[in-house]
Amino acid sequence: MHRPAIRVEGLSKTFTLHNQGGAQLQVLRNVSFEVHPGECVALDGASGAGKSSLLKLIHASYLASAGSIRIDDGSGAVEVGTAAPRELMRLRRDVIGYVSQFLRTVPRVAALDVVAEPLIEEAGDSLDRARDALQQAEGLLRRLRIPARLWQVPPATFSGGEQQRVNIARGFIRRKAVLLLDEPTASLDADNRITVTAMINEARQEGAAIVGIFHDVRVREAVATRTYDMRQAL
Amino acid sequence: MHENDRPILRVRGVVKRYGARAAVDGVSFELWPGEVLAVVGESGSGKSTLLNAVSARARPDAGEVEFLTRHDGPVDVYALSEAARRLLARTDWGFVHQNAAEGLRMNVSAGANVGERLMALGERHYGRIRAEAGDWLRRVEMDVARIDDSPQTFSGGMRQRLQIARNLVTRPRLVFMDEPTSGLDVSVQARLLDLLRSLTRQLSLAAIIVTHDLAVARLLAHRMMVMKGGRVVETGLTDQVLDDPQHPYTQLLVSSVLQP
Repeated sequence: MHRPAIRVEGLSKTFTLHNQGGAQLQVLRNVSFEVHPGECVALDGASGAGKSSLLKLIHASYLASAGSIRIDDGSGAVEVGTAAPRELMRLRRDVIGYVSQFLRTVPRVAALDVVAEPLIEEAGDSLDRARDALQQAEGLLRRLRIPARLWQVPPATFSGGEQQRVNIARGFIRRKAVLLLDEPTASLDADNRITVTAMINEARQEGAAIVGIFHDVRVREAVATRTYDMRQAL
Repeated sequence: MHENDRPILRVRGVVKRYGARAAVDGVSFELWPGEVLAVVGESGSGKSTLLNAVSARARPDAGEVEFLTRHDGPVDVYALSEAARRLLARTDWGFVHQNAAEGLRMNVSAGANVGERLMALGERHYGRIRAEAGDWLRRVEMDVARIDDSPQTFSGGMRQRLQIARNLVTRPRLVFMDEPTSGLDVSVQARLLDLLRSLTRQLSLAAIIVTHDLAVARLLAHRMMVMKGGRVVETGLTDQVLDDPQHPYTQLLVSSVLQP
């Protein structure tokens, strides 16, 4: 029952810049920690300490230089570093949610569809489930105070805060066992910050294992169950 | 075993030579149902030659291309008879050319262009063919009133959408695309990309997209393969290859564009 959802062991990351004379840029060294279901670990450290890199490594957007990252997919631990792309795609679809500060917008896709997409993909041909997905997306957008007149508009023209909320809605529409949050409240006003804080806590209480970067001390104190000090990592 | 538990395409050690030069030099990969793979590289990297070799359009000098058919399991596409291969290409596969004129018949109407592939499947009922063609014109966001017009009267973007409708009407499971958006105006490109993205997802299409545009790969593909000098130098999840490229050549490609 009490297997860790995320287990990181001896993780190091060095970028090799081949076009700059093979310069080596070490961003993480020997990181080890575990996150259990129902925990929220805040990464603590100055800018440049490798916090975002660590999240990207867990998400498999970056490749580890050494060490191991294992994610519990419900039936066993999957080693991210050696998993086939197809396995990683399945992990991202079903297990790992990742919310970054920035929304990567797709031209012409309405905000509502951007948010509903993770559920629509799961719905396949079922019209009922697709309709249900759109209703859930509306609910999330409403909760995050995106005015209904914007729901059918592509978010490319939205303000930074609005885009971030669309991104959060998309990241939270499917329950994920692992959540990676990179400054989810960076450009939000007070009301929305409180809403997002509540959403993070709800996900954690439902059993999500969360790793996050929370610059805002109030948010960090409200959501984190403990802190990982990045100075251990370099 | 469920159909989705096996690769739809398995490519092993494909070599294609032009004279003494190997344009494709030992490429292997697998593609799974519903997966979109981008093949990127500069001109001369061999990416289009590879596309032609795996889509049964140019027999490789070595290697195998195995396709998982609907009913007969995996078949070596180059071991099939010419007729069987052509039927496959017209029904279960699609091929979207960079230049739409190559993929369309320019001297017949838009509706006939779409209907033709249905007729290849044995459909003979004129009313049904026309209705289906109209339906597909709508799906690619074309004005159905243009159904009797010749593609010669269409803009580049419309021709490309018509070519896509022509390819998808038979519900193929695998689509090959060669630079499908280059040569179009940027605004037209965005619309086409969005259309391709939603269609590949709605229809769970497996697709191989050859492109030199990393932004196209980012938007459409789950996975990427980077080619240089006929070989694959790097492969992985799209965001991984673009955000943490390992090979010097991939690093050069990624750092040479504005924010892919």
